[in-house]
Amino acid sequence: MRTPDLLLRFAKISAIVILSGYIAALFNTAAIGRERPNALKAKSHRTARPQNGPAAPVMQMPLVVPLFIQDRTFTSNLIIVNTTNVNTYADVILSGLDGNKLVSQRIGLPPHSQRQVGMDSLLRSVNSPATAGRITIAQSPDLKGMSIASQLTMTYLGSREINFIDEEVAMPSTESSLTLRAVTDMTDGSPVVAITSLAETLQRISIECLSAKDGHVRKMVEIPAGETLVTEACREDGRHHADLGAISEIADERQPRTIGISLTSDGMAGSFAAFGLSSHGGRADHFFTSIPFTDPKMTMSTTTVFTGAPVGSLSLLPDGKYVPQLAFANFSNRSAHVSVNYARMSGETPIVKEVANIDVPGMTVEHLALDGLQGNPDLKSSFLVTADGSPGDVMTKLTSQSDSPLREIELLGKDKGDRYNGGTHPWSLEQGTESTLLLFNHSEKAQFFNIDIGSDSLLWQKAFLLQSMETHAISLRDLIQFQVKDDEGRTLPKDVQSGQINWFFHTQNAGHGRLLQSNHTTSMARNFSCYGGYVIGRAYFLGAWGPTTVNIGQTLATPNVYTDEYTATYQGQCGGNFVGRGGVGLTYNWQSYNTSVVSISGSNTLAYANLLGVSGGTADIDVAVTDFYNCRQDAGGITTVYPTVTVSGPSYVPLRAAGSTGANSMTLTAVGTPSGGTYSWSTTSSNVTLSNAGSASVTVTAAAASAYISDTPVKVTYTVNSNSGSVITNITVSKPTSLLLVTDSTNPTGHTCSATAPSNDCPQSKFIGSGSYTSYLRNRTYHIMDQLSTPSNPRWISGYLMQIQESYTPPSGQCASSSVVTNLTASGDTATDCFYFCSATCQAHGSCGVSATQTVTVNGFQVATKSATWTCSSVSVTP
Amino acid sequence: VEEFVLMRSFQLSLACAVVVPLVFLYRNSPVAEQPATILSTTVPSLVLQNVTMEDALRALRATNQNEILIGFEKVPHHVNAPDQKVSLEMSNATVAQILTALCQKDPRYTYEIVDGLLIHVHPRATYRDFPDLLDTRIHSFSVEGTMLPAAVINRIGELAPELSSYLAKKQDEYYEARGITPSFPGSTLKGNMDPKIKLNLHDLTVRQILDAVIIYSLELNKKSVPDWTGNKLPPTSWIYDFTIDPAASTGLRGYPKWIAF
Repeated sequence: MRTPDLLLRFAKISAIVILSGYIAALFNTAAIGRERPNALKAKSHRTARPQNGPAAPVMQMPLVVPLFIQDRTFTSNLIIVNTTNVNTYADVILSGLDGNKLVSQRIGLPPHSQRQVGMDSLLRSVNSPATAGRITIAQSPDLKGMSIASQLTMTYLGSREINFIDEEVAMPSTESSLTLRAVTDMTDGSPVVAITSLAETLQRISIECLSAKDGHVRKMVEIPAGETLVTEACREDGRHHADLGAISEIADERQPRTIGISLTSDGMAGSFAAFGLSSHGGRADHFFTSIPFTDPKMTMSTTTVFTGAPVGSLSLLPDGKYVPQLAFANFSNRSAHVSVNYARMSGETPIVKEVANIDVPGMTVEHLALDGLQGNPDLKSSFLVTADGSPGDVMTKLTSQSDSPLREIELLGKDKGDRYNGGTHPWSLEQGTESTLLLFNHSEKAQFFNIDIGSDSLLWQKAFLLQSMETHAISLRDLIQFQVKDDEGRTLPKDVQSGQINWFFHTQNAGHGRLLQSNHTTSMARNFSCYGGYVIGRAYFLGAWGPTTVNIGQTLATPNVYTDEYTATYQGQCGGNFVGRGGVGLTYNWQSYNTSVVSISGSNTLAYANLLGVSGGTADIDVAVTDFYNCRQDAGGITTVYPTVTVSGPSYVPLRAAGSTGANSMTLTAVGTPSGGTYSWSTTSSNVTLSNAGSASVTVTAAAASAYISDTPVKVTYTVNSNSGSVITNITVSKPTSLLLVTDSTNPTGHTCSATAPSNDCPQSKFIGSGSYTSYLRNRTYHIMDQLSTPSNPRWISGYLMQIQESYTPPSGQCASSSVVTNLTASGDTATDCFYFCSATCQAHGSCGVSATQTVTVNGFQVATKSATWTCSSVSVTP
Repeated sequence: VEEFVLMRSFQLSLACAVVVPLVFLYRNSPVAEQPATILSTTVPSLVLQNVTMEDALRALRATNQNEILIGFEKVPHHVNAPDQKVSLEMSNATVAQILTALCQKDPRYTYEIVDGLLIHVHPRATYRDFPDLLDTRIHSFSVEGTMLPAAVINRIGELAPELSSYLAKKQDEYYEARGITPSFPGSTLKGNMDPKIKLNLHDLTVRQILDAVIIYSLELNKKSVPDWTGNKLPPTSWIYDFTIDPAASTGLRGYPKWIAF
């Protein structure tokens, strides 16, 4: 081995790494400040700047898969996911164990897409005989944020059952420590670890193994620049393998034990990455599990989260009883107490209980089988493993063993205190594969988890509310098959088979998630739990800002404020490439910058606010939307408060002709709030004239008939302290045009004809003759209708003192008469005409009759012309 | 019933039977002696083009129908006989100036003011060659019911007893002389907003009763409250029009007509 003269250090991101994984270190710098649409220009107070970001910005470095194997027993496929809506690409570079580049290929990535790259085809494309090496992935430099996620899926074919191994991608960081740690499950023989150098010079790596059976094993290896060393990590004389076929031979050693592995470089941070394989079983049932490494420095809490743990019998996985196995390695010198909490869904209710607690002495390992736990068939069960001591001291691994062909399922533990707010994964329904998103809210409150499902430019977005300690399972097949609508009413096409999925929340350390791809037929189960970081990059309203005006004392609600979601940029900016809508669960803070004019009524922490007009003037209203990373975006606008003015009075006014004394005016009365202001009335219509236009009550006098209903605007402006509020009342000028008969009745003996009657009226009238006799009385009642009246919309000019007049032509007929006895004039909106007839001829039972034409005018306008014929026994009126 | 003042008085009652006694000091005064009352009221604009005196007075009243109250006796005329026309255009003129101008343009008429409230326009003596029904003295005039004051004016020939009797007598004579049995077709129009009125007048001429009705309508207007539309019943005015027709079936050699406006 050579001793490196310059050690490079790399951080190991324990989860699947998208470059945005480094958002944990991003947010000490200013967020992108955008101008609000439909609002004021951004002000200084709206400049977004995270206040408590966890770490300093870091340099962008490539994604690294420390080990791929492509030989007669292993196949490797790289899955790349584009989390953004940008059409982009990634460059994939394969290097041999000796560090020489084997092949490179540019992979096109449409928006919200996933692509698979087979190592076999890549190597064959250049006729390379290599069977192992490392993969480097570099996203397009045009991408603003860390937008590409990747994971290697290895398949071991050298046994009776196919063995699925998932290798998440590492991303080097200058902020990392010089140490990586891991703990294996119950492995047979020495774990094989691949250590790949990202340094340009030789480096020395110290390998330390903790084992209950073997005690401490420590050795030192040298790795030349760029090379990858595959070694039996826990044998002092362990072999190094250029031919990975030897790995299966190692598995012949059947000594199951848990091993803790620590790798320490003498180089610089970010100068190496590692991945290991644990060997299990004999030749017939030989299989491998992964050994992911974690940088203890990047671990923020002492609690490890396992989301969607297989326990008991499961509907998504091959039949069998799944028993969780926990492995612990305590790398500190002090004993650590570890407690295991299990959260299982019982129906819709999460049930939480401590299922184990154990002491792990310093520099030792422990193994724990959690047999007898009741599970949830839909994987709605999760674990929280908490150790005392310092973060990173105790490494925890959870697997679930079964008697099914799967034998063992691995879950990647996640740091409860990490600074990620989401994940991004590939999903597939091809060839009977099921994709199930598992989410776990391990916070103390209900939390919204926002889901984006994409497939080559398609996007489906929906928020799910998870109660505290709830594990939620979302079947992609169900969403498509049952055409579940997202929050904007969209559905996923029924023929879509694969794509990319994001999930995120906006509350710190609210939860974790993973995507399970499973297949009953092939007994396949793959775990995808890439971290993702999502920030809001814009706050806005779907429509225009509002309310732009509000009256004093009036409360109006603003529209909901929305945000757009971006991938976090490694430069530490609050915004990278656009992903989709920002979802719900953000922190809102509404504020009025002139509370004497507009105040926030009720809560100011919702997506909308109720604005209360306090006094006249203008106020700048702002909502600051803050996300998980304290990225802030603002929206809002100007709201003007006007005095309140209300108007009461009729909605129509009658017209009158010249010479008439009927009502042709009306009074509209305005009431302004607050009091003490002035009124000003006006109209743009020539249909009316206004009197007393400077007072609260205006007299509106009809001048011309309306052409249509409510065509005449009358505006009042109320001004207090130089602030004005206006109301427009649209009225109709009604011209009396017709009579509508509403009643018509005849009393055969309702009238008395008397030779000595003092006057003429409906019940009695006088005639030339002697004595008296009874005659008929016919009453006809009419409503006065306007020019816009139709049979389907009769318009009675109700409520007005109109002048009603009638006149008759001189009567003609067999009985002489000088005139029709009539009142000639009346007032109101309803006219009653009583008809009667007296004659000495009728009294003597003779025959008599006269006719005359009646003309009725209202307010000087002729509204009816009728023919009346009186006889001794009746009167006819037509029409 | 109040005591007469200057031997003439009437009692007016407003709606709802609330009796409001009003002493009417009936006094015809020469124009020059009038205090600054209705005559001094300014009319912003009045434009009359080739109109009769009746039309002119209607137009004048329309400029301020709540205050300009008129009793107008037309010069008796034959049916279809052309009436004299006047033209006038005045701005910001007082009512007195307008009336003076009108009477100058149609010298058949003169005017006087009754108690500072009423404008009484009537023919000069030269033109009053028919027995004037307006001079008929009415011993007791009483009207009570739901009716417009204007209707009282329209129906004064029926409601004033002595006048009614006279007219009936003349008509009776006319029909009797011709052996005709007349008939009396009736069509009484009423409005749903007609006010309740109560009038008791004593020892007044028909002309004075007509003037009293105008005053009554003025009181009615002043004491009533505007309705929801802001309106109330306007006061009324009267016109007496006698159309000469020797063959008139009224037996009066013409047709008398009392018109409210």
